Amino acid sequence: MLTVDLERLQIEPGHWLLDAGCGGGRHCFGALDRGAHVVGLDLDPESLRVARAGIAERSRSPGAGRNRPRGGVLRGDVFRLPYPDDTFDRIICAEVMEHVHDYAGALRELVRVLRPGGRIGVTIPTAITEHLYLRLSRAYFERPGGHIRIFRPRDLARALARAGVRVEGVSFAHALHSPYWAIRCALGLDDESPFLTRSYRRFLIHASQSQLCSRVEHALDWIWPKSLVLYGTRVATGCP
Amino acid sequence: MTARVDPELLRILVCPRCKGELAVRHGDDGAEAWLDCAACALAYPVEDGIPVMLVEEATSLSDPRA
Repeated sequence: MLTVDLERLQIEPGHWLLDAGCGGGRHCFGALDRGAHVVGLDLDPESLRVARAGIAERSRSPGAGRNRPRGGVLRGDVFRLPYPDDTFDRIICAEVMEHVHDYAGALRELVRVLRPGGRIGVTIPTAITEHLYLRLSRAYFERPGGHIRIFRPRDLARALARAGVRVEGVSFAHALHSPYWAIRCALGLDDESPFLTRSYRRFLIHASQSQLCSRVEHALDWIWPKSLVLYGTRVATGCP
Repeated sequence: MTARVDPELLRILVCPRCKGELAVRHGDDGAEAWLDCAACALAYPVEDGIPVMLVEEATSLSDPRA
């Protein structure tokens, strides 16, 4: 269940992709399946181990020879990336910006390692869901590691433009998750025992494996999406 | 088996602070153990095959632990 549409990001075989904030590696896996080389970066060692196991499994494609997609993970943060300028062809940064104070600085650093003409996809939670969750539970924003701001999409678009990215598109995702987090906020963020919470969670697991549910979710993404994705291309020099 | 770092991924890594080159130092088991930046005099650990490229978690090259 990907947030960023890899088709729209135009990931091709041989591309180098940086997934900044890779978590368990779901976007890395999708990019590897398309023949790209991937680097997953995150701060959480446990997530990185999960991502590494999945990457190792997918990059061992027998018969691919020397051209097999390569992949790996490292611990790092988006403000000091351990890469030279213009290293990557594609960058994904999913569910990071709502957690960091200096998101403009994070975007500048990401764009530094993106080659001119390279494409980037950045996700944020939609403002409509975040305002609802805040009304239902202050803990959603106040607990450690929680979200620290509600983004307006134009704020992210402006920051991307200032970092040297021409914003070219938008998509929405995870509409089926929007009610789930409303339920969690209403019934207890840290309490997964209520019947409604458990039932909806079971439904989400089922939905993640159902093509029909996936199609329904894509339709609902235009009504009540949980996530918003901006896509853009790094311009050659300066601001677009 | 000791986890190893893909050599192609190591090739493109630089120091997160100065963006300078890193030298790979191997442990007794032959796996990558440290990534050294001579310019910053910092050693970045490789833990269970995962490079830890955080300046705040790097060790000074003069530190006996590095």
